[in-house]
Amino acid sequence: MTAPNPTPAAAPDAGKQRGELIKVMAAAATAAQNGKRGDLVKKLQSATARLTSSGARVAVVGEFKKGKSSVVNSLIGGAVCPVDDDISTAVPTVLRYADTLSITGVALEGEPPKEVAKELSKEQMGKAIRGAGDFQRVEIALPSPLLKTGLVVIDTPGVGGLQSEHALRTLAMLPSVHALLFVSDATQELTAPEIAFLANARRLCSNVVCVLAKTDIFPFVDAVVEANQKHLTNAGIAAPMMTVSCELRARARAAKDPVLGEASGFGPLEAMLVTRIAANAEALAMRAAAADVLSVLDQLSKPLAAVREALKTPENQAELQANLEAAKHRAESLRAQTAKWQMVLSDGVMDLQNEVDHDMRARMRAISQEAEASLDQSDPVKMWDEFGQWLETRVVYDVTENYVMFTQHALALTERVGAMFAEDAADLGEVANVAAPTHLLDKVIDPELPKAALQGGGGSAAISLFRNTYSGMSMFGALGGQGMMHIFTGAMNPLTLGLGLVLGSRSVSDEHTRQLEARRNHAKAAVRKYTDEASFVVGKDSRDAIRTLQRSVRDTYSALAEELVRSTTTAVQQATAALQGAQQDHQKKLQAIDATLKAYQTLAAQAAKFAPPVAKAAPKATG
Amino acid sequence: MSNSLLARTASVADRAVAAYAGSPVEAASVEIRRRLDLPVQVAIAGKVKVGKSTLLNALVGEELAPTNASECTRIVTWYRRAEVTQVTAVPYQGSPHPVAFSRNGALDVELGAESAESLRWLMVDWPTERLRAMTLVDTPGIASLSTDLSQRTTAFLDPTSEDPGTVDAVIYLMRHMHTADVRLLESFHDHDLAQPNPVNCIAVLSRADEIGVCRLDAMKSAHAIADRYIVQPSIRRLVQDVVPVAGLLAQAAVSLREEEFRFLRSMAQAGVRSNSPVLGSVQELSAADTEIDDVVSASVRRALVERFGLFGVRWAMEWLSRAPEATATELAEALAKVSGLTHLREIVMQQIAARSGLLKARSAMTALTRLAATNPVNGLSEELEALAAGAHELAELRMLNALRLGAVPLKDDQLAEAEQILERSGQAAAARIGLPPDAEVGEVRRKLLASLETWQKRAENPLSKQAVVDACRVLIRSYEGMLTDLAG
Repeated sequence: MTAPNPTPAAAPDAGKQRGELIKVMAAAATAAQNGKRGDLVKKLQSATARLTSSGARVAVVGEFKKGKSSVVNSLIGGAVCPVDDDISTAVPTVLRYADTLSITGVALEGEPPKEVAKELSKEQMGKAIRGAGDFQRVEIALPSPLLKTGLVVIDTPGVGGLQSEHALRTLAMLPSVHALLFVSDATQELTAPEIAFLANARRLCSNVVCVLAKTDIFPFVDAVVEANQKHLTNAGIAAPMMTVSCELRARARAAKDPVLGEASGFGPLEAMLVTRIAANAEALAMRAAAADVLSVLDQLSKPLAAVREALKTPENQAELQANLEAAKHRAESLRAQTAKWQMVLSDGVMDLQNEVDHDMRARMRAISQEAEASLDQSDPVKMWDEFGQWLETRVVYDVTENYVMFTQHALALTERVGAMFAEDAADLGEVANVAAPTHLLDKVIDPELPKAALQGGGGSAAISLFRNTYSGMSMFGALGGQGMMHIFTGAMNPLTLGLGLVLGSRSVSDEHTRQLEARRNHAKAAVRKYTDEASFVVGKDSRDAIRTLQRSVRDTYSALAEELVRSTTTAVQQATAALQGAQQDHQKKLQAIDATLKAYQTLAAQAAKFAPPVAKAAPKATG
Repeated sequence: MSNSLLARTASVADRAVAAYAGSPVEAASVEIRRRLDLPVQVAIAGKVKVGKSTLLNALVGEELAPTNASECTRIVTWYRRAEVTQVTAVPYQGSPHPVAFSRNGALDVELGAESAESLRWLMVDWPTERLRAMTLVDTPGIASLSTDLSQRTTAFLDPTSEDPGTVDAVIYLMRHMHTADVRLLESFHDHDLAQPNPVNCIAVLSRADEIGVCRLDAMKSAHAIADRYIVQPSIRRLVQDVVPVAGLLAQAAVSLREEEFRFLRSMAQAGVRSNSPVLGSVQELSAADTEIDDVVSASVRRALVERFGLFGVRWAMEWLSRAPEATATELAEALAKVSGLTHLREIVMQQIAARSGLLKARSAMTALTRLAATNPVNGLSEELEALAAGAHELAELRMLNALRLGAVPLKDDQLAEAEQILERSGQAAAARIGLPPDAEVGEVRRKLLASLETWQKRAENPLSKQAVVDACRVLIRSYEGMLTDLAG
């Protein structure tokens, strides 16, 4: 998202530009159809589908009771998400643009989405959002001007007050969102758990914005902002801070009062969402689509160019033939198991697997050791509840760290593979565009991941990592004997990660017996069983995720290699066939080819407008 | 009865002091004994920026502790009643020494070359009646970004830590219940005499006006939340009561200045009401060009909202419009009431001040038991054990915990009766059985006898479970004790 190109004020005419590009794509698809390249038609179809479903996903996150839903309401310009002094949002709400309002409750995994209501019935929706219905997620489509710019807003349950796996799930969806609005309130400095969450979030999402709400009721906002800025700087978190008042915004809207509107502070926030987040996401999506168009046109042109070459200089036929054959071989070798990019991929996958496994095992071992050391100095009976909580929080924390690592490494791997492919394919012509594997990780960190993440399962393997981890979590209840105090298992507070601090004070009374020893052994066994299970479950899921990643990367580049083979083969065949025709036809053929090539060039020029050259580390100059 | 336990504890402590004379722990034992004669010590604790210092000021009735929008309490600070005003720094190393201070609103202590980290705590001696019944302790916030401060508070409150601050009770402030809150509450509860123990902890839902975003009915909303919290077993086993308090407003109420009253009244007379546009937000209230500029200037309004909060100003407007003749004192009382301070004071009096003997005796017994465990002397441990076993008040405490943990299968109404009796241990018999304080002695006795008989029958019922029988025994003794007191 840090593309250096100054994005044109894309927001207002984003729809128009997108429409133009879709027209270009349709034209290119027709051309591919005429060129009898069904594979390229398909490629364009899926590119079109990706473009039309793209949008900038903005997650609104924060500890509970900080006013997240109010901020969402202010942004979309209506009281849609229920707001209450006491009760909190329990299921995520996804808001996107539509011309008419509709509210859908998405039920449990596997079941088809169930429509709650077409009409805005507050009670029904309120119930669903508070978790009373059997819904895991509520989707609201509504005609909001802000959403029309392509923003998709996701209101999430509070991070701190719910079970700790909530924080984890929220983090899990971050790689796939374009921006994160972290809502805290202006009446209080950011706390240690909030900073800890922000630090993790910032590693997974490059646009993190701190939104301090409720400025209307607190006279000392400036002091809080200053203190927060200091905290963020100390923690090394790069995130701009904005202060807003939902109350003022609502009143400004009702009274159409621009002064109040300005005081509400929403102006700059919206401007940033529209001009930076939405526009950047749009530009990225357009660029990816345009790159696909260019690649298709390039492949369509190649055989024609070869034919043209053959017709123009029949005397060089042998040389041309040799060149074409060589290109075909190179394309074929790209497709082969032994291609360099395949090596990079399979080695990389193995390394990634090892690293993730090893990291997880090391983490679980550290937890085990710490837990055992502490058990040796206390009586499990007296501290089992706190101990359970600690263990659970700690495991979740470490699984999160493990997940962050996986995501970062996976991204790096796809980039490496892409670069290697581009290098090998470089002398096949203008295929540098293939090196932009922006959508590759989508299979693993699906763009629709929020959906999957929020559903707590389904679609993507990466996310089932967390669902299953959760099922591992619930198992702990059985190990614990007494129920864990689930309501209070909390945010990932670094303060609570030191077991000593939590339990250090539980001294052992003078009872010193075999019974105590037996209890300790029991407890240790339980801890080991728990961490083993966590290791196992997370390990299995990470393997699944990595396998899916490998498959999707391989399939993508294999398909690309296949296309190249087809293009080069067609070039060889058509060039040969062209020369066999009658001499007098040559001129006519040349004219037709020139016309087609010209049409391609025009299309390519149109598409290129949407894919301005990026100064980004180009893999290698095309040869 | 409490006093008798206090007296018995004091005589055990006297013997401990004698036994430890000349030993390395002599000073410690003397300190334990001395504390029995001092007021009960109450810590005000909670997460960072929850309004601890503000509430302390409200309880003391003066602006003493510095309050600020940013985290500001960095040192544990004791506020105790004394004839002479003085601030003493107590370092970890070296001897306590007086430090210079000035007062401009809140106290401004000049630490000079000393760093806050090197100080164990500050002791503020202040001549005020409000501190006669109890010494208050202001603590740095937990879950603070400065881990040091956070850990200091945890260590200070944990009776089994290396460096316990020896407080007898805690007023715990929270905005909403968080994990960190529960954890601290748990660490405070000692583990020897009466396992997790709500007897010495009152929770305050602080900054209650902000929970309901300063609407006129914000406090009602806060009360509803507090009521919901207190019936949750996980909270009930940690605290006695959850009281919503708007701390800022409480502090302003107890220190309301005549001038402020006049400004507020002028605004109300000029027709400002809680829903007037000028009270729409802090921004609008402190904006310059409004209709009431000539009544009360923007800067004064800003000062008012900083002192009373938006809720306070809104509420005062409504109240003053209904009571145009009211005096400053009456407004102050009304504000103290709506802020929740009046109620909190009542609870603090009932639950902490009125049973200070019991609380102090518990602290002393815990400390002496620890001392005796590490430095055994002849007979002290046995004496302490006998004292603990013979103290019916402690039996009542343990039973109360058992009831709250749901360990005793009683019917709801029986449970409610038992909890009330045990909860109000140390109070007058009439209060314990829910009669007004001026109830006739004869009526009180009749009711006591009736209850006593029911519990005796329950205890003798062969079908009663052992846990129920145990509970009955404790209650029977409580009723008998009340009857004896009534006769005496």
